[in-house]
Amino acid sequence: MIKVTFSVNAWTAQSPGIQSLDEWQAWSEGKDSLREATPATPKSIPPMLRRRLNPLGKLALSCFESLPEHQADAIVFCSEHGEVERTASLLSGIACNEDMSPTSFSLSVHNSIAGIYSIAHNYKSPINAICAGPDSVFTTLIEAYSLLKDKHQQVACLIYDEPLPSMYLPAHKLGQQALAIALLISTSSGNGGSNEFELQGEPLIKKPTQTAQTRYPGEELIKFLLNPDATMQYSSSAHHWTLKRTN
Amino acid sequence: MSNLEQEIKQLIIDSLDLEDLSCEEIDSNEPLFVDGLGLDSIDALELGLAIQKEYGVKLDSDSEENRKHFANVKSLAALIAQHRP
Repeated sequence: MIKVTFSVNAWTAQSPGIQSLDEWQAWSEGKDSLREATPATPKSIPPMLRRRLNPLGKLALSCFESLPEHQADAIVFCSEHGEVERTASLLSGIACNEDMSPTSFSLSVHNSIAGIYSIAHNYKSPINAICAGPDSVFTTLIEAYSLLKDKHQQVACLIYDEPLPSMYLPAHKLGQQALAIALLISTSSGNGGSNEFELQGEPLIKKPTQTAQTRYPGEELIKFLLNPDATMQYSSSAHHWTLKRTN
Repeated sequence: MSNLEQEIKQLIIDSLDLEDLSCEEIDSNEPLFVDGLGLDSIDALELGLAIQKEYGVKLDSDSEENRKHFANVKSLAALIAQHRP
């Protein structure tokens, strides 16, 4: 069993048309009004680099920019599928014998968004990109905890995913909309304040029979962060995770 | 300005995701790479592919001449006009 504690100093989330805490609160209560989704623009990325980001990359970095001014001495990027739209369109092109776009090919790696961020910001501290299937959100928090244990003062996490292209359905379902969550994490003070968290992971001995993933942990994480009384429980095919506040 | 130059400018904007730019802002004599428009090596490959798709002009990837052909919009127009099947 894994058990780690940490402090969440700040968090923010963004989805097309949802950005403010009030909008997220309404979303979590199912009061989804008709939203006008303007494309996200990460202003800190110069236009010549920004053009290399697809809508998910723009959303992710725009969300990251909306964190309060901070000093993060490491960043953990997290995505179950990365820019899957780009990869899917490359694969469709191969199937039709089309020439592959060199730009898309060069960007179809899991850490391309992290790469563009580090170039634009001249960011030279450690960056990791985590991809661990349905366990991704939780292993990202464990990675951040590990970095804190390794003398880092504050670690930023950027979690992002988008619904899978229809060719992958119904084998996998991943949320209703593109989503990005940014968190600033530091070592737990041990005071039990409302921003003190405990994450527990247990290996599943008896594997669940259902194979299709129907709940996106990113959406559940936002609901958990919004509600001070909530506990988040999530079972992947390998682990059962519990995330709660320690107060 | 020739129609072909105008077309090439639009092709550059579309194939390289330069949506903030208009054709009028690209000078036919301005260098495309590094200084000037500021394109990079990935853009060179992407533009080569777009020209091949649009005009059927295939560029030899080892050719020393490519640097000359890709200097600016005017030189690209000359290349395409000469080799268009």
